[in-house]
Amino acid sequence: MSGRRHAFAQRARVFAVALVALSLLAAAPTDPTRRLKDADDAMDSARALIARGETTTAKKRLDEAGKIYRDVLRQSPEQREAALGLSGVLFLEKRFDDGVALLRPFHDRLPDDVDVTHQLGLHLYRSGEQQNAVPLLEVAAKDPQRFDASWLLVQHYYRVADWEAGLVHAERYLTARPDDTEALALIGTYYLKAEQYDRAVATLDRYLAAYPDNVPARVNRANALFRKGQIDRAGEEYERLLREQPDRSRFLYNLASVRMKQSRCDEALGLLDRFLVSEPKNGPALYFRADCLLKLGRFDDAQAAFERAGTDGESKNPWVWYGLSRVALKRGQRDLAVTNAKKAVDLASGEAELAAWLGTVYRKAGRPAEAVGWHDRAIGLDPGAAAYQVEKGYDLWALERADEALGAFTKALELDAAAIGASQGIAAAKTALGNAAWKAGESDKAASLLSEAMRADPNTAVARANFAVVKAASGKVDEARAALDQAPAEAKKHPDIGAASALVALLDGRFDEARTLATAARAGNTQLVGVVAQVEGQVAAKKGDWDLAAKAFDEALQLAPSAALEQARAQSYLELGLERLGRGDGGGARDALGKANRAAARLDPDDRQTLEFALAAMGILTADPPEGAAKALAATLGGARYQAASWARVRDIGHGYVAYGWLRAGNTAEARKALDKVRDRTALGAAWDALVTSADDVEARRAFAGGDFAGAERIWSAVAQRGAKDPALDNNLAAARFMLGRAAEAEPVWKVLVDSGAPAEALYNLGNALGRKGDHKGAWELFKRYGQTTAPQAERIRERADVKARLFGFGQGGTP
Amino acid sequence: MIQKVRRLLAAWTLGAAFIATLAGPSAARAEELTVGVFLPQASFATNAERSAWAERFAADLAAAAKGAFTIRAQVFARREDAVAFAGRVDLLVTDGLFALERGGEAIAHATVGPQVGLYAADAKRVGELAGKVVACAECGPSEALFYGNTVLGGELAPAGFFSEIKSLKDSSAALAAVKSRQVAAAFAPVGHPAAAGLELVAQGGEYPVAIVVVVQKARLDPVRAAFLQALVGTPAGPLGSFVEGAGDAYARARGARGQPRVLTAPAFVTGGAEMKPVAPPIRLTTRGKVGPAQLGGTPLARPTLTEPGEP
Repeated sequence: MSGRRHAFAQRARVFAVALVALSLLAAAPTDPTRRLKDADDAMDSARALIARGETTTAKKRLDEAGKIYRDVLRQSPEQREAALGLSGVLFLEKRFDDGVALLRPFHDRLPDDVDVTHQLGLHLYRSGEQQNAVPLLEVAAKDPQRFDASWLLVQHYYRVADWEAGLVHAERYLTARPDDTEALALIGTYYLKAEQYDRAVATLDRYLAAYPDNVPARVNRANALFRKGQIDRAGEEYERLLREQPDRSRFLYNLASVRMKQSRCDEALGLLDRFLVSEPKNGPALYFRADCLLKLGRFDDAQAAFERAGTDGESKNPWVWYGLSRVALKRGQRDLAVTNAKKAVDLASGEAELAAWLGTVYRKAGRPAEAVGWHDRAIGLDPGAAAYQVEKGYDLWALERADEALGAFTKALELDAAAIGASQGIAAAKTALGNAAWKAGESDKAASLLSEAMRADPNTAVARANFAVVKAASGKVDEARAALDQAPAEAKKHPDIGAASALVALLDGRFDEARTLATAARAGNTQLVGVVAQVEGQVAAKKGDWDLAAKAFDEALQLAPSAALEQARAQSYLELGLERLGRGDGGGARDALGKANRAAARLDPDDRQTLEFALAAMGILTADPPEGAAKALAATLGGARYQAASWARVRDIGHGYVAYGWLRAGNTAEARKALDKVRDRTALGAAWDALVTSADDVEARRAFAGGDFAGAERIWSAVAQRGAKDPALDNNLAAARFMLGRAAEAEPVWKVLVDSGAPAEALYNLGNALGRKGDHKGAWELFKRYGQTTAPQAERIRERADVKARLFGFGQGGTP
Repeated sequence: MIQKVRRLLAAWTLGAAFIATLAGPSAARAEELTVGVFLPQASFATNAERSAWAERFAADLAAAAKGAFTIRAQVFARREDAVAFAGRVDLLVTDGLFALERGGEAIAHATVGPQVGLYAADAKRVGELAGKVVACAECGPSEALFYGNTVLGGELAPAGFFSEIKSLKDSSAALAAVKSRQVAAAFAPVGHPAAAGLELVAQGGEYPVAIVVVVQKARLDPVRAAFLQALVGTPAGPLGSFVEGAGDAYARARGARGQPRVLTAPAFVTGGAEMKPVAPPIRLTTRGKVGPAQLGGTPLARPTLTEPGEP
């Protein structure tokens, strides 16, 4: 404060000098001119003396000057320069009323004379007629040279807290006297008050560079920093101030505000508690303390604090009920939240924010219809608040009234281009409307709405993904691709964008990429499951993975039935069934062919007949006993539809299946009859030979089992001569020869088989042959190996090995 | 040939002597049954012991018959005797293998049932006896095969494995020959007293030591019931006692006279999957194709609207 008083004294001296200068400017070079020159010299001298503090001598000089000016005026009462000079004298003598009386006639006569106006303004101001002085000073202050008028106005407006009016003069003064560092404190404060925080900080920074210990300036700068969002810097200043003056409760409060902004509610709480010791009834502090507790999740304490804010702070305070409503909502007590919000509204029915809060609470409580009414009321009370429109939009969204929600969100954006949530609301509503149009089959309208949704909120992945799907579905793949390419980086990671990208990749023919994208989208739980399923199905079909294709089309069909999907599914199951049939997997084929058969009407007519054939062939694989199925297929093949030349191959394959069926039944004669019906053996390829060989084998086994070793040998030998390469055949042929007493031929064959590791029977057979020759050790070793296999006779042969071991001591150490 | 005739003659002379000995005074009215006894594998150390047992058993049996019939026992010490004279008795109490060779209804068997063993003097394993001479009691022509299928578990054909199988009059004699190193080993029922001190190198199967076989059916039938009743009720000393029926060991012995499995076991054919018939592994082709993706009506993603945090 002493600093400020000192500044005012400085200012006063400046005025005096300025007034003298003005009076000198007014002097004219006539007869009176010489006398006025004398007066002005006296004024100069007086000024210098005042500056030196020699007030007695200064008074003499002022008297001399005053006498001269008065003399001139007596001779020429309208002499302007003399009047201005005398005004300067009167000002220094603080005879402001006399100054006013002197100058008013001049001002009436010369209303545009800025010197006169300026001086009159100064006198009027000092004589207490600020109302009349200010307009005159405003005129004078327009001249940058008259910065003292500006300064006076700066002080004036500061006192009356008219920041807007005073700021102009503060800036003028700063321009006129950029080096007046002392003035910066006041001007910085002006900026702060006028909410020009950047300038406030810059100005106060300059001031504090010169006067670093000025506490009010530090406080003001910290406030400005806080307001402009430089919370941390503000916090550091308050920390320093609080260290220096721990008892200044205002610093506690301010630092608490900083901590709350910094989301350091626990620290804010401690500061507020200290603050409340000295100011226990401070409403805002009590409220903020409760708010802190709420934010910390200490709901019981928050409730108590809000209640205390209501009793200690301000009884019947609607904001307390607002706070209690927030506590209740945080605790999940939605009905209580509504009740408390209602009380707040009852206490302040004209408060828009409270009405809006009640609406929000209603929505959160699952009562969006009531919410709309309260948000309408809030809007009625404060039509310019965008936030209430956004809230109303949420209500309508919850009510699934997308078009009306769109209206509310759009209004919010009109009111405030930066309204939080408005753009997202518009995007969501337009997406919903676009989806509805798509569902109704209006794909152009859908694309247009979805495009608008994307524009409203470029980050909305859902709208973009849907747009791409709609475009791609209409054959406009380029537009779909472009929309996806333009997605913001974050949106590109969204699984729905991934799903749409998979579709585009599919349509571009990039199948591997399409599959990879589809897999990732599915893993990310995309909502576009129908799209993903179709992509998977199409790619799988292209790759011939019919199992996957069938499952994918199954899924897609369940999500959105269509003739095309039914065809795709039936075709896939047919392909899968034929594949499994070709592998001999009868059970698998039955499942797949059965599913294909349910939508057989969607298949190509020839494929339908192939399906019918496959179903009959599958019966042979799965029926037990298979005779009936073999007869049925034979009958089907005899039908007229299979006689055409184009069905010759299928018919021949069919006879192969019939033969197989009879072989499964052990009826080689019927099997051979069926094989004889095959017209083109090449149609069956190796299968024909295999079936003939199987028939031979069945017969040879039968002969062997019946003791007809010669018969068995003849058949197997013939099979071998046909070039069949099969260890089983080798073993069996050797067995037949062994039984015929041709052990010498059999043994080498078995040796080869034993060395190659299969079949197990060769182990036994060779061992048996060796034992018969008296090579008991060799027999024992082979029996033992055979006994370790899973062959059906293994246990019995293990027992034979044990007998040999006992007789000869094999495997027991010290064997002979 | 001359030796054989001489042996037969000796047997006949001995047999006649026994007949004289046993043909004591008897009640003319009661039926007299003549029982031939040929037990070369029973655990008698000497002929005298065997004869004493036969005499005692015949007397006990007759006593048990309580006058229903009388018994005259006729003991044969060697197979030749048994072969020569067995046709003249009404019943035989005889060795299982002999009975199998001779045939006839087996109506009872002794409860004693030793395993068949191979005893050696200087060997611990059968394998060590390859090419050696072994002995056995002379019972029947199939005895070597029987030993092959029992003691040797079917895994050795004795005929080829040993250089010779000597048939001696009974197992006592066979075991005595081992002890005197005349042979390397002998087949005998396990536990035979004469085997003491010898190494049992193998054992297996069960020897039907004593079987009761009907020779003269017409002679037995009138007293069959009484005879069986008396037979099962009479203690039989080292043979235990008699029970009705041929017995399991006898039945098994009947099947154990073939060639051992080492010579007869058949080869195995492979029954695995290799030669099983397979359905034609042919993939039928189709004409239709999966059409291009049709997305009309596919569900689009639902937009979500996240509200900012509460004020």
